[in-house]
Amino acid sequence: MIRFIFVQNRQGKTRLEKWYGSYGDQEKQKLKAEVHRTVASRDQKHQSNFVEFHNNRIVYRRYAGLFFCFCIDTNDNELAYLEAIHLFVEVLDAYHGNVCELDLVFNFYLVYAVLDEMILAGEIQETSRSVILSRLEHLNNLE
Amino acid sequence: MSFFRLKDLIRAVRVCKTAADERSVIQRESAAIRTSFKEADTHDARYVNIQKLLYIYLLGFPVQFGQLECLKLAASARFSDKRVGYLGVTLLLDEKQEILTLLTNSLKTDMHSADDYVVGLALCTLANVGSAAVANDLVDEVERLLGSGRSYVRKKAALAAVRAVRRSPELAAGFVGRTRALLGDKHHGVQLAGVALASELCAHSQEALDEGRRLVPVVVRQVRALLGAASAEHEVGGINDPFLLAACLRLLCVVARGSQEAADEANDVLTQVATQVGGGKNVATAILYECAVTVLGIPSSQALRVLAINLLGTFLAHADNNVRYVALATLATAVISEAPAVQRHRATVVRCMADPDSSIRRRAVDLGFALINAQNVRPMVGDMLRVLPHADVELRPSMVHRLAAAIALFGDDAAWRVERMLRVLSVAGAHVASRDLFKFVRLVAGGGDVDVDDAVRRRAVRTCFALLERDVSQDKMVVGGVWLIGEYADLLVAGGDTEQPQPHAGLDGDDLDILGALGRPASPDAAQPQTAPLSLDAELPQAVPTASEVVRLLAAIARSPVVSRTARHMSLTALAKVAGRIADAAVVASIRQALAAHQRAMDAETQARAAEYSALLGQALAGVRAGVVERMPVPEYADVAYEEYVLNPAAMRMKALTVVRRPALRPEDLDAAPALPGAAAQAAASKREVVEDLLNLMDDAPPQPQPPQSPQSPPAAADSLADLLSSAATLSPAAKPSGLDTPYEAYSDPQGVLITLTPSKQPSAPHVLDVLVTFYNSGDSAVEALALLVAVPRSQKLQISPPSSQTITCGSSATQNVRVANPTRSPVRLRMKLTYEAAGVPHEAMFDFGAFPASVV
Repeated sequence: MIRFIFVQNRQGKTRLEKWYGSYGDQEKQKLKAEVHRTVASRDQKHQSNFVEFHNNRIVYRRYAGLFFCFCIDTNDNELAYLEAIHLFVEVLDAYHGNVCELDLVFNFYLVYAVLDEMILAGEIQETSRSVILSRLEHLNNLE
Repeated sequence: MSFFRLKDLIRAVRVCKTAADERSVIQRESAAIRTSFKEADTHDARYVNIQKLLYIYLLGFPVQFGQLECLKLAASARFSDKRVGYLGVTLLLDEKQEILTLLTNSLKTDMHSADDYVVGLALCTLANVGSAAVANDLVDEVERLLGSGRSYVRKKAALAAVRAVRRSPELAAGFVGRTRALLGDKHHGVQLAGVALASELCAHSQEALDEGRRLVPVVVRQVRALLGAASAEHEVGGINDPFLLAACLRLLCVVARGSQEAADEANDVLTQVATQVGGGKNVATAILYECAVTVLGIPSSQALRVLAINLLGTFLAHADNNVRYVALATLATAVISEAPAVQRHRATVVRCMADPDSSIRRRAVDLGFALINAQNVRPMVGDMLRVLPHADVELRPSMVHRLAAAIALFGDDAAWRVERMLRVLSVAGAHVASRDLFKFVRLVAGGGDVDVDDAVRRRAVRTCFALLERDVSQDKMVVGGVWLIGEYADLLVAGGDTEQPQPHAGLDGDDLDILGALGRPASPDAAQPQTAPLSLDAELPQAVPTASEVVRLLAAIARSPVVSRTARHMSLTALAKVAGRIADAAVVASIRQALAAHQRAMDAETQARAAEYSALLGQALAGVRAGVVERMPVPEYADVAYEEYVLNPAAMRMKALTVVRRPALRPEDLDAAPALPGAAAQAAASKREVVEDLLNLMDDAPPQPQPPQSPQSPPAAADSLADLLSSAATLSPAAKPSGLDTPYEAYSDPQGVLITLTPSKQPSAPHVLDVLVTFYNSGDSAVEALALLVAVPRSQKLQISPPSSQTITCGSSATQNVRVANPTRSPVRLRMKLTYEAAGVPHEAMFDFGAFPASVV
C-alpha cells in the first residue's frame, strides 16, 4: 500500500501531502524534509526512480520543477506505481489544462479532490482518466 | 487585518520576501481566523476560514485550533461545506485523536444520504482517517454500501472496508462473503477495489484465504479478459488496464502461495501473461515483473519458473535503471529456490556491481553474495575483491563480513583462504569486524577447520610484512599483521634455513622514525611504486626481512600516530615476542630501545605494556622470558562457524519458515506426563515475584489448549505406563527428539533485525530447554543498546544470560542464551520484549513465540 504521497518543488516546499498511515506532526515535518533531501539530490539521468527510505521505498518522478513522490511498501510493484504517478499527473494536467505549480498552489483543495478520486486508503481506486475527470466535473457542478 | 478570501491570503504569502515576513502574515491571519471562529458562527465564514486554515497547514504552521470547526463544517447540509469540512478532517485530524469519534455521527448520517456524492465523501473520509473505533461503529454501513447500485459508491465502500480491516482485523469475517461479487463486477474500479479488499482479508483470516482460493477461476478469467480485449478507456501503453492486471496477478500470488491446486489453476494464465505481454515499455515490464514475482512466489511448474527467471535475467540487461533495480531485488529472493537458473545470469550480476546507480550497485552486491556456492566461490570472491576498493564506504563493512563468510564457508584450501583474507584485510582492513579478524588469526594459528602448516604461515607472515611496509592505514590489517609477525617472527626471518642474524648498527632515534621506516622498501630490488594497487592477477608481495628490519617496522608502527590503540599495543607485544623468538643480543637491545620510547606514553595501557616488556627483557627475568613469550597455543574456546544466511538473509527467513511449519499435534504429545503438580506450583510461586512484571505480560495470553496440570486428565491409569515409556525414551541420549537444534524464526522487523530461536537439550536434563536466541542484523544501520526481556508461563522457570553483544553491526549477529526449566513439560511459550536503537532511533517490539513442536518440549 501507499504510505504517503508528496508533491514537492525543488526548493523543498511541499505542495501536496497525503498520509495514509498515522504519523505525528513532528514526524510529518521530519519526513517531508528527509524525502526532499533524498529525492532532490539524486541524479535524474543515471539513477533509478526508486530509493530505499527507512523501511519503505520511495517511487518518485520529476515533472518540470515538481517531484511527485509515493512512499510504498518494499514488496509493492514499483514499476506499477511509477505508472500511477504518471496517471495522476495526466489527470491533473487534463483537469487544470496544462497544469503548473501555481495551479497546485491556488487550487490545493482541488488537487486533494483529484487524489481522493484516484487513490483511497493507500490503494489505487480508479485508473480510467475519463471516469475520474467526469466524476470531478460532477462534483464541481454540485458546489 | 484579515484577508477576505483564500486567494488573497495565498497572494499575500507569495509576495513575502523573507520567511519572517511569511510568519508574521500567517500569525496575523491565524489570529483573525481564531477570533472569527469565536464570533461568527455561520457556515459561510467557516467555509472560508477552514480553506485558509488548510493552506496555512500546508505551509507547515500549527492549526490544531481548527479541528473542531472542521467537524462542524462537515456536519453542514451544504455539499461544498461538507467537502471542505471533510478535507479538513482528513488533513488536520489523526486517527489517534479522541476527537475523531465525534465524527462518527456525521459520517453515519452522510452514509445514509440519498445523494451518492455525499455518501462518497463520507466513505472517502472513513477510508482516509478511520480509526479502529470509528471503523467498528460504521462497519454495518460499509457492508450495506458494498451492495449499492452505483459503482462509484461500491468501490469507495470496498476501500473503506480495506481501511476498516487494517485498523480492526476482527472485522475481516464480515467481508469475506462479499469479495466474489466485487471481483466479478463490471466496473474496473470496483474490481480493483475488490482485489485490494480480497488481498487485505487474506492477510487476516484463514477463511478469507480459503475463499480466495475458490475465487482463483474468477481472477484467472479476469486476467484472460484483460489480455484479450482492448479498451480505450483503461489502456496504458498498449496494455488494457495494467493496474488491474498487476493487482490480479498479485492476488493470485497471495492466494496460491502454499496451495498446489490454486497454483495449477493459475499456471496457464501466468504462462500466457509471460509470453504475450511485451513491448519494452515501463507498463509492460511492470506486468512482466509482477508476473515473475507471482510465478516465483507460488508452487508453479518448473518450466514456468525457469521462464520467470529468464525474464528477470533479460531485465538485468535492460537500459532502464528502474528495470535493473527491480530485477536484482527479485532475483535475490529467487536464488534460494531457483539457484541453477539464477546462476546463469551471474556475469550480468557482476556487471551490475559497477552500475552508475548506487542502489543498483548495492543490490547487485547483495545478489552476488547470494549466488556464491562451493563451485563458483573462487571467481566470485575474485569479482568481489575487484569491486571492494571501489564500493561505497557504507557498504564495505557488510561486504567484508560476507566475503569472510564466503571464503570460510566454501574455501577448502587453507593457502587460498589465507591469501584471500589477506587481500580483504589489505584492501578494507579498516572495515573488518574484530570477529572476522579473530577467525582469520585462529585459522592461521591452526584452530580453523582446515589444517595450516608452517609453509602457509611463512607465506602469510611474509606477505603481512610486505603489506604493512606499504600501508598502515587499514586498522585490522595492522592488528592482525602485527600479531602474526610477532607470533611467527622465526618463520618470517629465518626462511626455513639456518638462522642468519644480521649484524646491524645500533638503531638510533632517526631509524625508529615512523615515516623513515615505513617508506623504506624491504630490499633494494623490491623498489616498486609503493602505492600501486595490488593486482588480483599478481601474487601478493612477500618480503624476507632481517631481524632488525622486523624490529624497525614494529617499532615504527608502535610510534605511528595513525594506527589505533589496539594496533599499538599489539606491536609492543609483538616486539616482546620477537625478542623471545630471535635470541640475538643486538636485536634484543634494539627492541628494548624501542620499548623505552613508550615507557612515558600518555596512554596508561601503552605505558604499562612498555614497562612490563622492558622488565621482561631485562636480566632479572631472563629465566622466565622464553616461557612467557613462547608460541601461543591454539585458542581453546569453541568457534562459532559462519552461517550461510550471512550471504543471503532471505534464505534464512525461508529456511526458518519451512521449519516452523510443524506437524499437527499427535494425541500422545497432548497426554504428556503431568509430573509433580505440587513441586511445580512451588517452583512457580518462588519464581513469581522475581519476574512479576514480565509475567504480567503473559496474563492476557490465551489459555493453553491442554493445561498439563489439569488433574481430571481422563485416561490417567492407562497413560501412566505410556508416560514411563516416553520419559524413558527422552532420557536415553540416542533418542533425540526431532525439532531440536534447528532455528525457528521468531521475529523479524523492517529495520532488518531477525531473531531466531534454536532449542537444544542436554540428555541428562530433559526438562530443561536451552534456547539460543540469535539476533541477526540484516539492516543498513548498526543495532545498539540491544536488550531482550523474556517471560514464560508460570509453570516454567526462566534463566537469561546477557547477550553476547549489545551492539550488532550490519550483517552480523549476536546471541543470547535462555534456559527454560519446564518441570511440567507444558508447551513452551515465550513472550519477548525487544528494545534496541538503530541509527539513533529507539525501537521496541513485543512478540510471542510458541511454535516449538511438541517433540521439543
